[in-house]
Amino acid sequence: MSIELQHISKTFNGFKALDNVNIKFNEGELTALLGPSGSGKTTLLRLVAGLEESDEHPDSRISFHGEDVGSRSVGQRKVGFVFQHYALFRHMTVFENIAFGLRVKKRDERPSKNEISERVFTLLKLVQLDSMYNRLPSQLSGGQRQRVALARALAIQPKVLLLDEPFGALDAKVRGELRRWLRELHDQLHFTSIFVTHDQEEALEIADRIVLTHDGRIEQTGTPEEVFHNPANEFVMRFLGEVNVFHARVDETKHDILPLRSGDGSDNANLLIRPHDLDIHYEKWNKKAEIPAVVHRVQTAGPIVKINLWDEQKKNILVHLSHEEYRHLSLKRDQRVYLTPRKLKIYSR
Amino acid sequence: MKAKKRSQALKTPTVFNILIGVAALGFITLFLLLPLAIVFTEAFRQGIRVWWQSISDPDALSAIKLTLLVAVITVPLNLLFGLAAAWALGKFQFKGRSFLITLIDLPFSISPVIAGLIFVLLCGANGWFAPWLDDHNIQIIFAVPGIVLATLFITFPFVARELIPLMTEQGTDAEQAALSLGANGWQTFRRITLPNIKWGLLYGVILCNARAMGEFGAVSVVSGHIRGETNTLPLHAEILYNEYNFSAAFAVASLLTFLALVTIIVRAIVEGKNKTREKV
Repeated sequence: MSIELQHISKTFNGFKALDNVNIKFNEGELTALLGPSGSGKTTLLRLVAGLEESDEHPDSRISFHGEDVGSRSVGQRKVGFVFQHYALFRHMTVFENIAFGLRVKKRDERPSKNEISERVFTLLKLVQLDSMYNRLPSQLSGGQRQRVALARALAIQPKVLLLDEPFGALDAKVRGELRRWLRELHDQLHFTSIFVTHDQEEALEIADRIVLTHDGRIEQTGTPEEVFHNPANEFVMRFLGEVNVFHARVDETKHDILPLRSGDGSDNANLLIRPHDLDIHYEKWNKKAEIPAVVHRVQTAGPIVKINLWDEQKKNILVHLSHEEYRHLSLKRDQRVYLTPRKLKIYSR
Repeated sequence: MKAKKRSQALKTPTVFNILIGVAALGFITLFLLLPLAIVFTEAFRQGIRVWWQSISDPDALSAIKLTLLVAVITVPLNLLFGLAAAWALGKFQFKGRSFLITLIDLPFSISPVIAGLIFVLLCGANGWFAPWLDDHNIQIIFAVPGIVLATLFITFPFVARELIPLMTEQGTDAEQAALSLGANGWQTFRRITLPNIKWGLLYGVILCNARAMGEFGAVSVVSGHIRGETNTLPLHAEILYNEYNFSAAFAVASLLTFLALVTIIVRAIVEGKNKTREKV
């Protein structure tokens, strides 16, 4: 089921959480709503679910599969919603939690006891918790609770799955496992999924499409490759991973770009370079975009080597190298080097 | 770590610690246990037969009946009001919320006698509503309705105050989850909200009941002290005492004291349940 939002705004006590947002979520895709906290991503998700109402506007419209659902309550929209802190019913067992959505159906739609039990156990197997059916939520680990919340949302057989910071409260290792598992589940069950996250790594890893939000607006929409390699603006580039920012002057007439040490007043653009797009040389090559720097700290523990350098104003520059490249260079602390960018982005100010 | 620290603190028995213990025990004995013992010894001083006669006296029986009647009316009503108020104030954020929470405490902060007077001024012979009440031949002051109204007012905060912090802390996540799973408002309340507050609710009801049966000041002002008609147990005890009928007064008092003891025991059980519940 595709989901479309048109001209959607939301104001909380004078604070504009969403500002005239237009977006379409394609059927069958796993979309990440990515942005810093306060950017409006959770509000957007809750509006889709019907947990919030958008500001009154003649053109505003939320539709599922082309059908306007603006007047439908959260229960009527039949979406599976997974809450940030799970919101499990703490006085009910795992089984009761998952069965809840089936038990509250109207009598003529409600499955029989056996059917409910069968469906709950199918879901328990799906989330790999069949032996835990009799536990209370407080007797489960964070990752297990998250999976119960997911199974509970799936019990009503939604066509849309909405997840609010699904892995936010888990430790790094469980988070990694659970997000790959979620991706597989999504592929298995073919629904339209939207999840909110502030973790760009998570979004880049499992989403089909990423929607970047900032200050209540959408900055860019695209596949992980598109947004990572062709960030639409400086915010997107800065948000999607580490980046070195330099002042620069763009001379339109000469088609010339001048990297500058610091803002001397003549700069009119920012030059952004990712840490892995910088090369380190011992000698000056007299290239224009050459940055002199001094090695400050080297961190070799990890899959890549992270090198911290200081430019002439003692401002930090970050360079990422492979272990092999690093061995070739044999850098020492306080050593003087020159950095040349392989790839850079310029955003005028 | 914490346990270790605590045991270390306990391991240093100084004179100071012992003195605090003695003072606390002395205080409890003097102000709590001694009066309790006096009530029961005085009540049974002339034997159990006199005690029985005192409480089976028609006026005493009528006082017991009236006290029970008042509790039966006010406790369920205040359960409903308190629940509704706590739901609105605990689960929703709106302007004037903290003012309303303060307002709920009004019956606690006002003297019960003043509370009774308010009703006399409203519904008494020269009160604001007197003409209307006279026209419809309704008597409130010096009658059972007045006692019920005054007790309702006095006992209103118990359930609400118990539930507001509980409901605020629990938030609305679980309710939203229930709604998103297709439950309607009533199902959400019955299956999600209520089970999570039931011990707190029971606790509030017990306290509310104890006060409803024991309230003196406000009821005294509106009741008119008509024997066999508008006397509740506390008022009856006072009348007997003023007539120097000590053994009968203490017999009635022993009933109220017994009620207090039962309340404390039930309260302890409920509190225990509440705690284990939270731990799970």
